[in-house]
Amino acid sequence: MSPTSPDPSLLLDLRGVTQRYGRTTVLHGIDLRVAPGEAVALLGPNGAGKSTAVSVLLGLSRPAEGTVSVCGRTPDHAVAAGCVGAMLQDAGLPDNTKVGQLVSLFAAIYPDPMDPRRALELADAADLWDRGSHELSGGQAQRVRLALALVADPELLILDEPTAAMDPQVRRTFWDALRGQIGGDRGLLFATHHLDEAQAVADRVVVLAGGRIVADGTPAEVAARAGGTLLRVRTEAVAAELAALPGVRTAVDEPDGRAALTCSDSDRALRVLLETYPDAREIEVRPADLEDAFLTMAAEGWSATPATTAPEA
Amino acid sequence: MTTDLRPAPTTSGTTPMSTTAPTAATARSTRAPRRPLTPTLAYVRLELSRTVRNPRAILFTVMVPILMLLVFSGGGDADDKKALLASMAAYGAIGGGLFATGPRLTAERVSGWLRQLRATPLSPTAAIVGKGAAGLLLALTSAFIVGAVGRFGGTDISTTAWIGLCVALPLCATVTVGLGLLVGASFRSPETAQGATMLSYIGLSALGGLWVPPDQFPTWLQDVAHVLPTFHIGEVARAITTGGTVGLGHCAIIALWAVVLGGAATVAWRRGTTVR
Repeated sequence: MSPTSPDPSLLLDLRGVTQRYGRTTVLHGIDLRVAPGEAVALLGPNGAGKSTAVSVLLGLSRPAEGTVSVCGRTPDHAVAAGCVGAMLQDAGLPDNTKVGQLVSLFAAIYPDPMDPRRALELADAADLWDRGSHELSGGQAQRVRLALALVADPELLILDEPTAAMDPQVRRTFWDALRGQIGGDRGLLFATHHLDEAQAVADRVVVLAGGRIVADGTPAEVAARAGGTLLRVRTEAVAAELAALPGVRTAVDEPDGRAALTCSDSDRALRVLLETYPDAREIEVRPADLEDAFLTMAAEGWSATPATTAPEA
Repeated sequence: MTTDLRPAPTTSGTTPMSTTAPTAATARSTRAPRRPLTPTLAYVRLELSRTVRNPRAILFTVMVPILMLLVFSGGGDADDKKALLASMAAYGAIGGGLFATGPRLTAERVSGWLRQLRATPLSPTAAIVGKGAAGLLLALTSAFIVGAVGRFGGTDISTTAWIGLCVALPLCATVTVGLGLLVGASFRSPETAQGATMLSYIGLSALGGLWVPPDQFPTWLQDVAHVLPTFHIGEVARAITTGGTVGLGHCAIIALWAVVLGGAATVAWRRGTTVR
């Protein structure tokens, strides 16, 4: 398929999207796809271009280059038809309204909404129905914004940090309930700082850094490509010395006094480690998870890992 | 009598909403919105409910005119009192057009709420139209209550005049709705928008002769007053309460102001939404 003709069977199809603000290029020809039934986590450090990507796919800003297709349409048409719903990170709520009124309003706006009370319940905000919009704490307002996106119950749901204002216990309940709610052919694209969520919820993880896609695959694939194996060890040697060992990619000192080594060849690293530092103890070896991979990618300056599909230049 | 007063054209030529025809290759485009007008109506309903809950707006547009009526109503004959009542009703009504729109729209623009709405099938135009409707409702509320004070209080205007105020003043308030929408698009912070609203409210009311009868102005100030829409709104209101004929010239000038301000607001909002 040529890069300019979007695939209408995808819920989201960004191809070669470049965006500039003045002279600064914030997106460098990114590709981003969401298929029906797929949950995709969009990860990346602050300033990576996540919000810009969300703006572009909602039609809030027009890309300098590239094509955007949402539910087989232009972003403007998809938004107007109500097949995409979004929670934006920093939108204020209007004053002199009640939470229930706002959620009901959004239910009236969309063609196929869910019950407003159900949306608030999902967002852990069921008790806020009668609350005035100006009486909410920051966390409560965040959860109400989440409910506004959920109530749309669209084909493609975009959530920006949905669980930022939730307790850990509630986060788990939320994701379980959301997966149950949006199953079937609906798609989900979410940004999060909780990598355990991406690991548990996402079918696919896309890592955006410096305006480029640096990794794209299942959580296990991304973890393996960027992380390999994680080796933890207590020793007198500091991380900088351990990083020089063969088979070790990165090494960091951990708060508990141990060092965490990300290894491309953990067997070799372990043999040399035990020879060189006989005091090494409390050794733990496990496959790297997404969080480890993320830290490794950060430590290596977010260059695209070889195994991932390189973004088109 | 006031049939030549049309609402400002702020709703014309809006961006297409749900009626947009999907392009080719849209296998998934079967989900059509149920009724295209429902979202806008839902938003207008929310705006009206918000207006009723806004104590500051009610204070400015109902309580202050009644208070000033009490303060000023000492002297003069019956016709003077009726003219004063008309001026105060007009003063309240134009305030309704301003306070329901400008500062609130700026606040919602700055807070990102309008941006959130742009990500929904409800176009931001509906938010702006909703504010305009709220302005007209507030103008109607003010005209109704201040008119009721005139009907049943000491001024003793006729029921016809009371109804006349309730019809004419909301139509006249389209001018300040247009001005308020322009203010809402133009300022970077809600505080400056609030300041600009107060300044234009006081300026237009005082110079337009709603506080002091304009024939007591010096000649040069009368020339200024005759350009302002508030002078002509006052003339229309006074003609209604004193049983005179509503001059078509006044209506034409008010309509012209409504068209100009409404057009300017439309341009300002269009420019604003394409940039951001």
